[in-house]
Amino acid sequence: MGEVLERLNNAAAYLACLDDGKPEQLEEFISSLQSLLSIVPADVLTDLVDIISSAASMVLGTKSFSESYPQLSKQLELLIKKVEKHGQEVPGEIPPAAPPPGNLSMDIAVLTGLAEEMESDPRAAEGMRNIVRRIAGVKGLHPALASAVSVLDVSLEEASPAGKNPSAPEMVRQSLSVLEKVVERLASSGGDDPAGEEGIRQDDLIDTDHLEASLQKVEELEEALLRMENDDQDARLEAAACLLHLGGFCEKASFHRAGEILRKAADLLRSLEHAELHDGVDFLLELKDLLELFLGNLLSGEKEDSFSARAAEILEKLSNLLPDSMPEKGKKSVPPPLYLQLPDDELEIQDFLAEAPEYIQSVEWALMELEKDPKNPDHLNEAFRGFHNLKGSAGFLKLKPLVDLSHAAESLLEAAREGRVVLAGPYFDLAFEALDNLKNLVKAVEATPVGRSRPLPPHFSILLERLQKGATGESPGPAKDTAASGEPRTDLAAGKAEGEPGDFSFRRQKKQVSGKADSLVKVSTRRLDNLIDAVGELVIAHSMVMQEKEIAETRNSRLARNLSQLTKIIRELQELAMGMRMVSLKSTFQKMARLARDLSTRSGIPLDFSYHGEETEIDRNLVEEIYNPLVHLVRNAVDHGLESPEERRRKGKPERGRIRLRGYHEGGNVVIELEDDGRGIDTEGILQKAVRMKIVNEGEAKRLSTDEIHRLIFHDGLSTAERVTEVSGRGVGMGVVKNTVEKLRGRVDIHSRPGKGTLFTIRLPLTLAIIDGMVVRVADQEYVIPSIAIHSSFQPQKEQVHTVAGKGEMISLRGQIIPLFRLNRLFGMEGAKENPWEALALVMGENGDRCAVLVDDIVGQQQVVIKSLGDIFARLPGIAGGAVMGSGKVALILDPQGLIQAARSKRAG
Amino acid sequence: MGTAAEVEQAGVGTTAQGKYLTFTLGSEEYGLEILRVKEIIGLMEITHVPRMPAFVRGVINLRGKIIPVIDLRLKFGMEAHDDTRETCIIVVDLDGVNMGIVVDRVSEVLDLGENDIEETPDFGTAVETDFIMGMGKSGERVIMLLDIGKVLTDKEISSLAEMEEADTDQETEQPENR
Repeated sequence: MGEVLERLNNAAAYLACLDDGKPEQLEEFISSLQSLLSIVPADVLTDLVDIISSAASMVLGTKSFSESYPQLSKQLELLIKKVEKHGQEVPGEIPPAAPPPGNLSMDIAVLTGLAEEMESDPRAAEGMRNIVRRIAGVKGLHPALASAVSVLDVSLEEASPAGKNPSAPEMVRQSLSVLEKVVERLASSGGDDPAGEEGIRQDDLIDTDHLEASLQKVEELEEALLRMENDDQDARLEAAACLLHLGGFCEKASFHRAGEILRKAADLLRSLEHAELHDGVDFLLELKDLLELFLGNLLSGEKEDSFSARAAEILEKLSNLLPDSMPEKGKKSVPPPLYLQLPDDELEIQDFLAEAPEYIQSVEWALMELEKDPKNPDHLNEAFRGFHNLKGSAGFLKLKPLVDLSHAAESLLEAAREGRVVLAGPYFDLAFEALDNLKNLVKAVEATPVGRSRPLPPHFSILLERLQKGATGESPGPAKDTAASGEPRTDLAAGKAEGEPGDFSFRRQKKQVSGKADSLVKVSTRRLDNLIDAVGELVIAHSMVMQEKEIAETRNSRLARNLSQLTKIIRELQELAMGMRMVSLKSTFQKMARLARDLSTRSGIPLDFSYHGEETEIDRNLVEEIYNPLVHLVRNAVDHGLESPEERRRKGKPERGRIRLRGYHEGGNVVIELEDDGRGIDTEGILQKAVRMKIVNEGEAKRLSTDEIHRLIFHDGLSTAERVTEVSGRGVGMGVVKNTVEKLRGRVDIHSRPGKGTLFTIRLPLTLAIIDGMVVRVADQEYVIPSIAIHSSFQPQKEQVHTVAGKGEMISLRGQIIPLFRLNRLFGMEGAKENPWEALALVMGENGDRCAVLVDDIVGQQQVVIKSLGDIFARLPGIAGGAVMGSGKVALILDPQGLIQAARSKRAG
Repeated sequence: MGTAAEVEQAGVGTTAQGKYLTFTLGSEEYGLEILRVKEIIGLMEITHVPRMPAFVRGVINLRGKIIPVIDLRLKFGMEAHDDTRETCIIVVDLDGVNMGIVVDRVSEVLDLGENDIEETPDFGTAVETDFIMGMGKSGERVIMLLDIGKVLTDKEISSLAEMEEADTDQETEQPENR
């Protein structure tokens, strides 16, 4: 409370010195009280607002100075007493009269927007009054709010053409900002008393829960946007609602400009005509990507507004789409951007970056001292020198914005040195704001590639103006939001450098938001993995205990019962731990929808994309891995699968192609299906090409089944596309799909019917950490083979085994002759069964690659946790990792694909 | 003696002094910096990893983490001999990576001062002595102080994975047609 008291006392002292009602002095008085709004104890909030209101009335001249002055000082005195009492007492809560209506922050945002146009457009003031009256009409309004609203109303009235009061516009701005702060204050006091010593900082306003919720809204927005093009009016409304919601969030987090942009975007969205819809959605999607990135950054702790600058550009493009009504409005809010242009000399930039922070620090320190003692000449000089040095070294690099800004700040300090202004109140804030912006500019220099340029946020020029005004002793005008300073600190550093590719692809956004509305806790993935590891250990240790002879054969029924209870708990714990890694497929599917849309635009093939089962959950790591294969499949479907509209019409199909994505669980696997209703795979074409490229020989070609032929498209270098397009057709895509999926221990299947379409089915394990394994024995060693890789197992008959000259051992299986590999020989082990008819053959590999692997015995089937063998064994062919078995011993997990490859290459020589 | 050895010598005396865990391989006594030693465990069943050089005994489960185990005897080109009751595994920390080494017997922890440590003698260029930090003296005994990080050189580690199997198949060679 000490700070509050001190500042209140200062204000009282200041008030006492007022001899006559000079408006400027009173204005200063008001703004000094304003900054207190967010930190005074909650119960005196109303009193403070009342005082500000009275002062405002005096400025406006609606109350005479001589009458009101005594009352004002009395009010202030009372207030100070109340605050003093807080020294001993527990600060009171805000009486829960009525929380501010939820849409108030949006109203205020609208008001702020209108206020900017007020001077040029008299209708704006009228609009503001309407809003203000509506707010005033709300029942049960908090007294502080009511007071703030009424003073705004009075100011507006004075500002109207009838009133023509010269002080009015300024008062409108002031009272608006008062209102804003009160609302913020009330909104954030959800019962707990926020009146800490430091007041409300921006960090407190951005809360992770809201962020997560907003990120979800962003996803909804994307979905709605994608649906919008189908003339879905609901989707349009939904999208607008999402934009407004997000705008509200930004407002709340003090990113006012971002909020404004989003609101305008929502307006534009509503008025988009059919003809502009497609391009409009393009821009809105771009906006959405940007927003997603921005929110993601916020979530990871960044506080900069990386959004507004670029978003404003997009918004302008969007508004240009509209025939007339909106454009002037859109353009008005976007002054021509200034640029920060970096020179080519990297060394010089390095030098600058090395010394600039020093100057900034010295200024910062001096300013801090000046806050206590505004007239101290030493500190004034110090601050002046700091700015001057900064100007000098920036001038050397021709960094104009830095030079201009430090020059303007220098002038302000010059004025202070000469006693023309006192570096207190708004002037002081201005100096600090200049410093903050300089800091950000230096950061921006650091973040911008050499020789490139970067646009500056539009408020930059406003700040310059205000500094210049300040230096001449004029009132510098209020910083638009002094306390929270969301705007002044906007994102010089975070803005994108010009010339960088404007690629906001989804892959950068790695954050996954769970689809649930539960409250969320942020936990690092590392911790999560450690927990899961530990649970894995627990499971192993448990099973080792359970296999202990004394335990397994115990006759103690209580022990047995407790053990079975323990088993249940551990199983549940394991499931919970595994569940923590799971995320839904939703965002992946949405990305695919977006991709399909982009592809459709580019290739000119109209298509309907739909997805189902997006709530299907899958391991977090898998989600990232599955992205690329899906991209290939979607591209493939659009590029090769779907026919052109004319062709489709000829075939009697609906003109718009259809692509469906589906996800579901099936027996411990996650299945993702991608289906198109295109031309299907050209079986004959593939076969011919495969023969031509010597992937199969002609004899084999005759024997292959249709499905087997279709699988050939997974061979690297085989692609049916006659044309090579920008996006696919180089014949590597399908190979990537198969390899990635198999690397994840999954499988891809194709089912295609000529003329009807193609269905790709990807089957993946639920998680990467656990596999369902077949435990086999060879000699005295146990190995684990992923069950999914084993097609069948059988005990060969003597007559099934042949040694084919030139091909080594082969085994005939249902008329097919496939190579037989012996695991013991592959691994150079002794003591295994020598006669294949005593051992077991496991059939593995794909159609064209099918082979049998000989092992001594199958021990059983069980789920094992995969562990890495460490870097030393990382490149061991045929071995995927290790698993700790129930006995505590390590069994190696085989990688069937690698194993077969190794075996083949060995045979081949 | 190459420059590498000279660098090694320069290090001796300043960094080498301290506590050493000594163990024996055959008739030789070796020392390991105690800071490198994480724990000593009795011999347990080691899972053989195929296609590895003989000195790589395999992997073991150390409380849920799988770590490789190498046999120092074989690594140093000594004759293999059956494990005894005294054979044990020293788990060492190689810059965050754990590895087990099989030794014949663990003896004691020795405190070696600067004066107890001598440079590695010159064995001529044919003998690789990089992994020997120096020779420790304790009474009449001479102890070879190992730089365990250099026992398995980077080259060796990376080549482990690319090891070709030693035995040959008698099958004739012909490229697969499939």
